Amino acid sequence: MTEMHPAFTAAVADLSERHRDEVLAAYAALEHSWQPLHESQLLALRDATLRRSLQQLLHPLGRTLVKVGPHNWTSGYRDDISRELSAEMLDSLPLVDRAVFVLILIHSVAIPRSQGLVDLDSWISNQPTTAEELTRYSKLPRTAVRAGLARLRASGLVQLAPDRRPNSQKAGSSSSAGASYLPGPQLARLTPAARRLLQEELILAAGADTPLAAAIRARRARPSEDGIPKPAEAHTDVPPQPAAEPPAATDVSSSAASTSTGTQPPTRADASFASENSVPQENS
Amino acid sequence: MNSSETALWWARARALGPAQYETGTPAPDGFLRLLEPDAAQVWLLPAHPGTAGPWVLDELGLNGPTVEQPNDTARMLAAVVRCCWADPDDAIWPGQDVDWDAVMSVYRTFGDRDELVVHRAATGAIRRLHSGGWVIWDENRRVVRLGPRCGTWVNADLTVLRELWRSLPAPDEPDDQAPELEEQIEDAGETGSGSVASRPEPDNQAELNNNAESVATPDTDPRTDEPDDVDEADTPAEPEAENDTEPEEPSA
Repeated sequence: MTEMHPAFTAAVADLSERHRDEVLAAYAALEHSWQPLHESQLLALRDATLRRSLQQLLHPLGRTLVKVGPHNWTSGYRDDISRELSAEMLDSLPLVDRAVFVLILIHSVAIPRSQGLVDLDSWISNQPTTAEELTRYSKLPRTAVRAGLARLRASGLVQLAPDRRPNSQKAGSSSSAGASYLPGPQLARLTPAARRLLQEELILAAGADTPLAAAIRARRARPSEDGIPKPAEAHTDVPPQPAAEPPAATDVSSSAASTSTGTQPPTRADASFASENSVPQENS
Repeated sequence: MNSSETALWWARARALGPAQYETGTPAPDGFLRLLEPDAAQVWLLPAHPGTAGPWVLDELGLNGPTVEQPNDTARMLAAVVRCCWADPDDAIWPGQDVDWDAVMSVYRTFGDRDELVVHRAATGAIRRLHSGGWVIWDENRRVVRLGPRCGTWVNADLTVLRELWRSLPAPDEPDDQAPELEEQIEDAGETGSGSVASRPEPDNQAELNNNAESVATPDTDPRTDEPDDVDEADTPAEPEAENDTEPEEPSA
């Protein structure tokens, strides 16, 4: 591993040795940590100048800084890159996984969000979806759901909810009947544009007849107004594309398959779910 | 290769994990090329500089992805490294193909457990390692070899790993196994490390099992030492999952 990508040297060339180490360490921490990092943990996240170097380091590697809440940071795919990646890897996540994933997003985020329980611009939620709900609404064999959940958990798209429900199930055996799931930590890696895209796809799928969906379709039909807002820092050397094509929604980063995740699920999975579920209308 | 292509390569490598390409595929800067034994295909993996790799997480006290059944997974990786790295004085990549039973013979020495339990743990572990690119497991042929991620280990790590390699028992199989299996394993052994001479005698077997615990401890290290750097980090579609909670699921 002697030869280093020029990006690693170029972005930190002007820095002192100590600052260089700080930036490289922050890069590694952001890219590989399971959770977003608080800026108090790393100088390169606190200091605006170093943070800019960090962004310059991430950019040529297809990544960008993502702010999570007021003081936390993580990294995600650049929006232009995630568009290309998701076009390339549409099938990287098995259909069952996508279906299960969307169900969890609907039950843990979309529905609670319409009730005001989850922040409007976040895919992180503390409203669990139970394994029983997943089996019931997906109408998939229990084993298929379980295998899908295992893969989703491994990739960080889904996580087990801490069992703090005071209900009676807890007292029973610790079988999967009581297990419940939340969107995983990788969802924090979505850029603002990707978050919005995912939200729109979910509305289109779950509430296709709603005025909100009509508004989204109308906006996407006008190529001049690319539905994807440019994130502040990410450059766009790619000309704006009409967002009508399958969006790169979830750049659910590190996990393998994840890239196309957000995109797909809404398209296939929801159609069937929409009818069965109380339709998650993310209010506008 | 222009900058946006390079960026796409890096992003792709992150999304897919280790991937195989035709040998002639031009790789972007900073990528490791690991040639397959037949030289027709090449693995392309991004190489992180020493101060910016996944291993930094440890130094910072941060959590990477959690591996399901970490101990069994580490033991299996240790067993595969022991069997497939024919000559520890040589490069670790690409290593040799090894019969599953040979790997199991090493794996079994790490703990005195019920055969059924061992089998289940081993199967789960090898699948996890395979999906993460740590080993390549041909389930039909029941043959195992080292995965491309092992090829990214740097020399400093390999030095530690060599010590561990020597402390692990050579591939072998219990006497009650079918004779033809024994031959296979000897075949496997003669290419490299597992020389017949070093095979424990039957009566040593018990002792070996007693030592299992002590052997099992170091074997966690190969994972924590080397893999870790590569391990935690890039692990794309890999063995990570919440550990503690894990039993809930599979059980039903």
